[in-house]
Amino acid sequence: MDRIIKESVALSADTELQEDVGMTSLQVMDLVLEIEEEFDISFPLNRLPDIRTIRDLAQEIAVVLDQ
Amino acid sequence: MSLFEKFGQYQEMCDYFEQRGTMPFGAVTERSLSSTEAIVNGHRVILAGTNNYLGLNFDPEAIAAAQRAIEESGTGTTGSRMANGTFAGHVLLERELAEFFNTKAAVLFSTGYSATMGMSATLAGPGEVILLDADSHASIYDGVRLSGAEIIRFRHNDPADLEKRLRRLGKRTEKTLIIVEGIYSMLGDIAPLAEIAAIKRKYGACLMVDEAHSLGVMGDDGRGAAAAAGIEADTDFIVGTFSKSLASIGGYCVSNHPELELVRFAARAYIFTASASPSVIASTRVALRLMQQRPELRKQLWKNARQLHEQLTELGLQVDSHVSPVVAVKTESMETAIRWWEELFQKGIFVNLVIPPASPSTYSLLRCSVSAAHSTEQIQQITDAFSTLTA
Repeated sequence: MDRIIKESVALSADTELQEDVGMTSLQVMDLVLEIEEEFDISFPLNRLPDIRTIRDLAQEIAVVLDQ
Repeated sequence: MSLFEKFGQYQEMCDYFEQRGTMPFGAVTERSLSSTEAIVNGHRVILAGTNNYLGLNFDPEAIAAAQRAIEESGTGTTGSRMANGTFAGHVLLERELAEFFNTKAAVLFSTGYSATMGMSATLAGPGEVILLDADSHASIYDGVRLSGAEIIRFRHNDPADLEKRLRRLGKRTEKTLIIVEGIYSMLGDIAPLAEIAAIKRKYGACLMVDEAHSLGVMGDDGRGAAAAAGIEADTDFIVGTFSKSLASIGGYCVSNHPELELVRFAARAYIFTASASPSVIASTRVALRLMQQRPELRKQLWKNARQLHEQLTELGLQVDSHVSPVVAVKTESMETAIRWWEELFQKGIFVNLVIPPASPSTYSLLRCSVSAAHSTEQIQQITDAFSTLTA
């Protein structure tokens, strides 16, 4: 996250990526690229509309990892 | 009330520019003086941010053909290609495009946006996969969202990252469409198409290349980046636009897959819109021929591109190392980009201001693009204006 977001924001599972952290949709997609690298997965963009919070993101990653 | 809340951010932006007494977005060209000069918002400016790569927008032969077409066929077709909107000119242009690209089929669309969006939305569907370059144009992103396919983004111009994602797909690669561009519109960087085509072959996927900014600019006869990379045989679909090098408006897709003809019945962007006006088709046909007959335009374009790239680089501006007709100056701060755009405009240079989210990342851009019609002196004037900007 630090590579993408320059401002300091306290993060919790319920932090909203766009509303609270101020990420643009492009930055969310770039964050997904980093996550894909970390977990060696491909994360379809189709899942992004369902993701608002860090918890949502973690749950969706878990779904992809389980597949 | 709540329906309009989301537009508040745009109102803030408009207010911001109104306070500055300027509006870079949607500046009005009050009078065109030539392919490279105009009166814009009351100022005489050198046009340094168009996509008029070959400078054909005032070609007398193209103008005469458009005038004749209006007189003979009227101002508009008033209907879809599928209904009453297929005129002889549309069919002839499709035939000429297929001959030019040496493909079995060509399909016209009414704009470049609808060509790219429509093909991206139609070629792959539910249960299939689209792999797209991260810096793809908005028309590609919009199209793939409509497709219903699984959409996976790979790192910009990174064949290794593309291959990694194809490998993860296993047998699904046979039902995968890879979408890339020839020259990317904002930074002017060129896709590593030879490597991408090799990976496409290895995994048995389909490849679509958007040549919007490379038609007329690269390759033999200006056939584009796929031709320049020698991968036309590996390119399943080429899409492009008439609104840049061919100085009109409209789009196309060409392919050796005979199924492209059937796309006419499946692509909603083709079916549910009026076809291009006869005058547009007429001037496009002339421009397509002139592009092939006048290779010196392409030579001059690249000469101008090298001059501007070299001069802006020498000024110490943040310019990427590759040379192309799009020369983008990056700034970390949006405020600096806006101020520089205003100063350039006051000095008679009209470039494109690109700020996030339209830019590929968090930086802002002063996107310059050259034309074959620019003189050496005009390129020097553009550079001179940049040299006066202060950090």
